[in-house]
Amino acid sequence: MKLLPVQFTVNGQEVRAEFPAHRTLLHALRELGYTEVKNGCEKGDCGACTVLMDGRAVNSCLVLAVQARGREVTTVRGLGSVNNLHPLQKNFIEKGGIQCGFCTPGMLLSAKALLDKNLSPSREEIKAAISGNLCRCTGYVRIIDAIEATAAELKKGPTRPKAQKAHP
Amino acid sequence: MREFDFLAPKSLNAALRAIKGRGRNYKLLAGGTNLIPDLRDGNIRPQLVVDLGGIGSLKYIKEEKGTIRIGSLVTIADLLESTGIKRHASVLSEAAYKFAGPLVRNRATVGGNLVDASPAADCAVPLLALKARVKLQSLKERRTVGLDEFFAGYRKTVIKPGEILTEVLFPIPPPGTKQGYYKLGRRNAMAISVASAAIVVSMNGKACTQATIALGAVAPTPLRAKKAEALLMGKGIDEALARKCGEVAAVSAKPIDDIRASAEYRRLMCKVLVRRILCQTFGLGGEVSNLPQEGD
Repeated sequence: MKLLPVQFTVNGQEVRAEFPAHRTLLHALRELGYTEVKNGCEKGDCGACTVLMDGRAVNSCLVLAVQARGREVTTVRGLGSVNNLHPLQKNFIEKGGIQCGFCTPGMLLSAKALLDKNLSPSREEIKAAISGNLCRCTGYVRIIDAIEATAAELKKGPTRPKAQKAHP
Repeated sequence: MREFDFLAPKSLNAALRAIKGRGRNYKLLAGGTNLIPDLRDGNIRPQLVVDLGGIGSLKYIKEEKGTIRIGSLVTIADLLESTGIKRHASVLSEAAYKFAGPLVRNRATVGGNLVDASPAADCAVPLLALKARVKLQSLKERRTVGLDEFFAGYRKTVIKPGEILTEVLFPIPPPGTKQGYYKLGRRNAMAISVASAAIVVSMNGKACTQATIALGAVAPTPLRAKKAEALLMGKGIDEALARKCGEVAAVSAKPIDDIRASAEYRRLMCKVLVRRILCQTFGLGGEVSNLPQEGD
């Protein structure tokens, strides 16, 4: 099997690896340990494998790893961490936008791509932005609530809430 | 997915050289939203895949001497974000908005959507209504083909081995041209059309001077309903004419039964969509009911 060199960044870290031409970015990322990128339908219908590529949300199952050469890829791990949640992550938890969690990484990244462009989305715009991401648990309402709340928060102030301090 | 050889040329010429003399044993990769699932499922087994993504010279939207030129690698998201397209070709903007979902729109290209030649191709219907042509280029030859002659049959085009679709171009419709598009799917996002229609009508005072009506997913290829177009010429558009036009358009359709809808329903929807678009774009009363009317 012929291997091709592939170099790109994932969550700001440079990755150098070799993949056969027919390896999709989805499988390449999972092989590299980025298992937060979920494998759902593998034909671009479900959005579980969503990543940001140069800031745009794409289905990583519809991209070959070799096509990501030189690109900046962001997975949900690039958004925030358990100790430093992104406001979207915090609101998904607080509003009940997560149940089984399988769609959540993709859903968060589609939401991030929306909020990067538009901090005052209508509910219809939010629905349109996540229309490529299927969720079979939540009924979407709480996801939309979480995205709406995040937009309002981010619009108010550019600073990300720090870890909670003791009462003054 | 089966293995294949892979090339990622940086120029159109390099791409044309890469596919020269290969017969049909290669596939061009643009957005990949159709190609990659087809490769994965083994529906196609090319020896060589040539990724066109690195060819920057095919990514542009230009307005030039009354013509809009769109490079074949422009994505559907690019179309949707283009103010020029929105201003001059609202049918195309509307179709871009209804195209799959945002994730797919960020990858799928105009050229890829046309070359894929699905009867339900979302770009084909508005581009047919805009009287678009496509430029095809090989190492030996350049030719321009009207989109109404480009589709040769179900998922077939007139593209020859060694040719690449480089550009889609159409004349900017005259000021005051009315445009309307409707995509009927099983749901709003990520749907494949059950039927779709695009209409572009220019008026001189009260008389119609140009009319194009295109239909999608109701025949082996996207098509123009030319008899229905002729019906509008020279006339003022009223509700009765809109209704008649829908009836005549439905005769152009050659629909099939499939998992999304029956042939009978599709033919009926040709009538309804054409009437509805005309009534909506001309502010007539007839669109009030979205249901089939007596006589449909």
